[in-house]
Amino acid sequence: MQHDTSGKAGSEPHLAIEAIDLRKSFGATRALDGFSLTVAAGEVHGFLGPNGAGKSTTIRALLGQLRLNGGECRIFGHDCWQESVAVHRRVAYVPGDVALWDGLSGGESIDVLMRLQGGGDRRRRDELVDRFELDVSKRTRSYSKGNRQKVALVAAFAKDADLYLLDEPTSGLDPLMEEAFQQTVREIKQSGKSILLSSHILSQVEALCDRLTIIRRGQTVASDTLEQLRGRTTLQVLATTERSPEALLKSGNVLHLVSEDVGGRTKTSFQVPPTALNDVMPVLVGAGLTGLTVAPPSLDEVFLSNYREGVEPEPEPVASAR
Amino acid sequence: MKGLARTTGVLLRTMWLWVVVPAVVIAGLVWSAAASIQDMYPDEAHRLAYAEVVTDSVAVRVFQGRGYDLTSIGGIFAQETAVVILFLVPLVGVYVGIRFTRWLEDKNYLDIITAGTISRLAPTVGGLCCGALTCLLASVLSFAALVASGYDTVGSALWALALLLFFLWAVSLGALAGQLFRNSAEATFAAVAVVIGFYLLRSAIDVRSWDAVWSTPLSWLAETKPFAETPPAWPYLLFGAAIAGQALLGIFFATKRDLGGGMFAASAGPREAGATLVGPRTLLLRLVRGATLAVLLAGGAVAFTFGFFAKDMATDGLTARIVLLVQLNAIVAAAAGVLVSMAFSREELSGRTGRVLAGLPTRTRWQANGIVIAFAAVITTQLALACLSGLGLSLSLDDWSRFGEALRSNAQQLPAALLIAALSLALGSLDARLPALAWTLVAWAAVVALRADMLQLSEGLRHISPVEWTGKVPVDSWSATASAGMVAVIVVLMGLALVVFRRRDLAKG
Ligand SMILES: Nc1ncnc2c1ncn2[C@@H]1O[C@H](COP(=O)(O)OP(=O)(O)OP(=O)(O)O)[C@@H](O)[C@H]1O
Ligand SMILES: [Mg+2]
Repeated sequence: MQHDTSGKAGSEPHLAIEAIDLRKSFGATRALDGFSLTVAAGEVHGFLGPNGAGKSTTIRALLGQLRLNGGECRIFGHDCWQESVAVHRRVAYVPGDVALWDGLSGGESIDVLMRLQGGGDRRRRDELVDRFELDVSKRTRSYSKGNRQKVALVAAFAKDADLYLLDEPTSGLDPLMEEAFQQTVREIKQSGKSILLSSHILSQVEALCDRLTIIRRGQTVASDTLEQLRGRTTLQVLATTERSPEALLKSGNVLHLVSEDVGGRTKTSFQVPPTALNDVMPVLVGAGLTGLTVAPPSLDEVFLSNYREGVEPEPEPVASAR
Repeated sequence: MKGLARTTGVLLRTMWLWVVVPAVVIAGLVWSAAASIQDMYPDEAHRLAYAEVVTDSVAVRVFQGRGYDLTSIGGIFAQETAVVILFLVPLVGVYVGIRFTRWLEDKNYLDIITAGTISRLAPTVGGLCCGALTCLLASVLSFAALVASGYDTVGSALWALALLLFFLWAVSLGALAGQLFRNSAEATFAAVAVVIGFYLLRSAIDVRSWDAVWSTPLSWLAETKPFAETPPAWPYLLFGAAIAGQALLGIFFATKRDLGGGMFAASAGPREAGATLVGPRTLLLRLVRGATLAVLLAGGAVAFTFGFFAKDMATDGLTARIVLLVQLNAIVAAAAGVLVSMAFSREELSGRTGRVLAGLPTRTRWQANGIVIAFAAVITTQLALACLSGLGLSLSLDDWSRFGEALRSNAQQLPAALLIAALSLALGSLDARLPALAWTLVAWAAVVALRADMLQLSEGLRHISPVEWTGKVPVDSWSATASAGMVAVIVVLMGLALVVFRRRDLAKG
């Protein structure tokens, strides 16, 4: 059943991941509800979303661990369920919740994992062990959370895979190790490999990812480059005018408007989508503009706005599937 | 003690089944035995005949110990139930003791609880309280069952008290082991080893009539003589002292050790994997070898002992005992298979199977390896026990044809053991939480093998146990058709298991 038609040699460049309209329910819980994701070859793709949004479920579906209720998912052109071994040959995986064999040492666990995923480079393994400062002779039972995570990272990165599926790979790592992780990801990216990086660490996503997809309640909320997402998020405007710019109030595009009188002038702060800036400027100028700052949205704001608002219009404080 | 009520509450809320199920199972056994013994020995003549057989029989001494007051119905009851009580109560007891005092900690739930304002000792003492509750419930229900069946009230009360003390002894032993070792698995291993050691010591003392009943708590049970005119006080006091000692020692160690650790530090392991950890099969083998070895050693010790005392059993139907020995070997072998099957499913529940299968092994290959190893464990165990029991028989009867006979009849019983393991594996392929259900079949097979006549089970009920399907080898002729049928069922079950496992979600990964 597993015929390995190596995607690398194919005439058309396959997408690393092509997932269309994925659907998966666990009883009454709809974990994936028409979610789609594409990752180009050679791309580091950020994968974000609130807790319980369906990130881990997606990655497990990509690995053929879950039988989807609907949709199609392929990795390098191979169907993730039907041809799971052909997929696994080219994939390395770091699970979100790393469980290791209690009786084995860290070094043994790494080697076992490497062998099970089809071998790997010994030199690379030792180099990674050094880089992540892992004591491989300790029993995994006595490892701290970060150390368990390191075992999974070393085993995955020691494999010369074409696609790395990383589910919150640095949860529990200290900042030095985070740096080591980012360095490793950059090296991998330089060699033209693809990475799907599920993460809650926004700065990490910003530093590493070419594109990103935001999932919420099992649906795609946004999928684009960070720049484009920033472009779609509202700008923070702070204006000082001689008269109160009341006409602004009538514009439906303006959010969070606050005005106060300071020494005879009006200080106004509000948010506005980039596209609406053009309409707002004349109003401000008409009110006698004496000072103006326009700040791009912070990274947090970009994500929070996408985590909160979205497919369903109803406003809710914090999105959560449960 | 601050927080004792709260931790006990948490334990009871999350693990109340561990209070109710063991108590109800034990009381249920007591109740069924109490009723059927009333029916079987209604008058003096029957009881005298029983007393005569039992006093002579070495086999009875191996498994039931010394009997007292055998001319009273209560004495017969105590003696007849001893066969189950002597192994079930200590094993369940240490398990309950470890479960209540250690399990939350192994699951890392305890860190959250102890981070609150509770005393360091509260979890251990709370666990002991819950374990004591299990014992108390078992004792009270058993007392009620005895009195309801018309047994002497004072004797019943004393018997229930002895059961309570015996159970508590095992629970406190488990709690002590739970404090000494690094996790539940190691603690269970050690505590069970102690129980088996005491069991064998008791067997030897009872068979050889040594004057050393004070040396093992498993002997104290019979010495409580609940149905005697004037029962001695010392066994009760000794139990009390042992329980207090073990519990206090456990609490003492609880103050000395780290949360999540034991009294001994973990040794360092190798920096690299050796050549013995190359693929799914060797990995699985490594994961189950401890448990399999434990079953093999414990079962082997019993099989050899049982075989070796066969000579003394001649009065009481040597052949019947050999049949039982073969059946017990098959049941122990099946238990080894179920343990492997559970270990295999535990890999999935922990998420490790998901990680393994993200590599190159296919699901089919992974599960086929699980099946092969489970079957290998069954076959190895049965054959090893066959050799050991054959050796014991041959040595004691000075007749080496017994060795070949033991090998042959054990081999004939093998399909039944494999079938039970296969059932467990098939359940595991459906859902990783199910393989433990196969224990009911193992337990039933044991009940049928040991107690079918006493419980007056119907043919239909007996034949739920696959071990009965083969025929009573080596006395009856071996039913080749039944064995072939079982092999066919095994093949079909495993084929289905492979298909089902390939087509379902992994539990975690
Ligand atoms: N095996 C399962 N059985 C039942 N429900 C499940 C199972 N696996 C996931 N779910 C549910 O599916 C939804 C998505 O879970 P998932 O683990 O994919 O979230 P996530 O995006 O990875 O969240 P987090 O950021 O917390 O890791 C959740 O509501 C979860 O409870
Ligand atoms: Mg997750």
